[in-house]
Amino acid sequence: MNALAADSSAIRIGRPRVEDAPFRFFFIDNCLNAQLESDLLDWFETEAPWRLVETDFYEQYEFSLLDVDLPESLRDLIDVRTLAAVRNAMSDAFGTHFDNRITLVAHKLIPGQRIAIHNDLLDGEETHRLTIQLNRGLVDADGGFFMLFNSPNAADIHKVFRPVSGMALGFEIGPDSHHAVSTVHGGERYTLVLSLYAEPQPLFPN
Amino acid sequence: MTIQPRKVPQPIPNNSSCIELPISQSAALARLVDEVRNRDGCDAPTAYNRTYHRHNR
Repeated sequence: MNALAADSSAIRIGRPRVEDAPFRFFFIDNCLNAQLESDLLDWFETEAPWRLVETDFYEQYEFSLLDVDLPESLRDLIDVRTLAAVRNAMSDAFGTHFDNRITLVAHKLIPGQRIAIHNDLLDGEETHRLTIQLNRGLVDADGGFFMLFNSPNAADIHKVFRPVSGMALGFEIGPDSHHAVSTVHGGERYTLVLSLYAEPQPLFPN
Repeated sequence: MTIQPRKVPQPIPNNSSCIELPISQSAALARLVDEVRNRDGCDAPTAYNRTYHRHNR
């Protein structure tokens, strides 16, 4: 264990204010340890095993951080204490108990790539996500905005977020959790995506 | 030859990650909307059913 894991500060969520509309979400700034943020960017730009994935509504590079041999300097990111701290913070924020499953993938968008409006909903699968932005200082002209919508209509925008490095956006997945990422026009836009699974609600609670 | 220092993460000016929506009348916002539309000619109904990819599974 190194010093970073000792204070469980690889990812800091705290107690964010969760908004209820148009679906439950929160956002916070500066959630990543600064050294980890810098080391991650270095690795993403040099040795990370990116794999291009193309579908009909998005194109991006990605890979699972839980399925690769991470450099020593990044291992706090997948330390069981880090993941447990994320799970606990998300549980506190959303008032939801999660089971032990968690996934952590990295996304990379380069100029010309975008993710069209969608809701992430897959019945019986992950129920909540935490997305964390990483980049070397994108400006508005670089695009890559994280957009939330009030409805399935792409013109019905609720909020637009700049991809400020270290910013985290957590949300509850459901039929109404419509979101998208606008086209990247400059730079490289990285995202850490943690997915959690709510424990099933009892049919007949005590 | 001059070696350029490596860029490090910097907050952008006016460092608020959330942009409020008075910009809703702007051409810039119209472009964002166009960028995130699904391109199968049936935006709203299909968008509702969009699901995310399977993350390497």
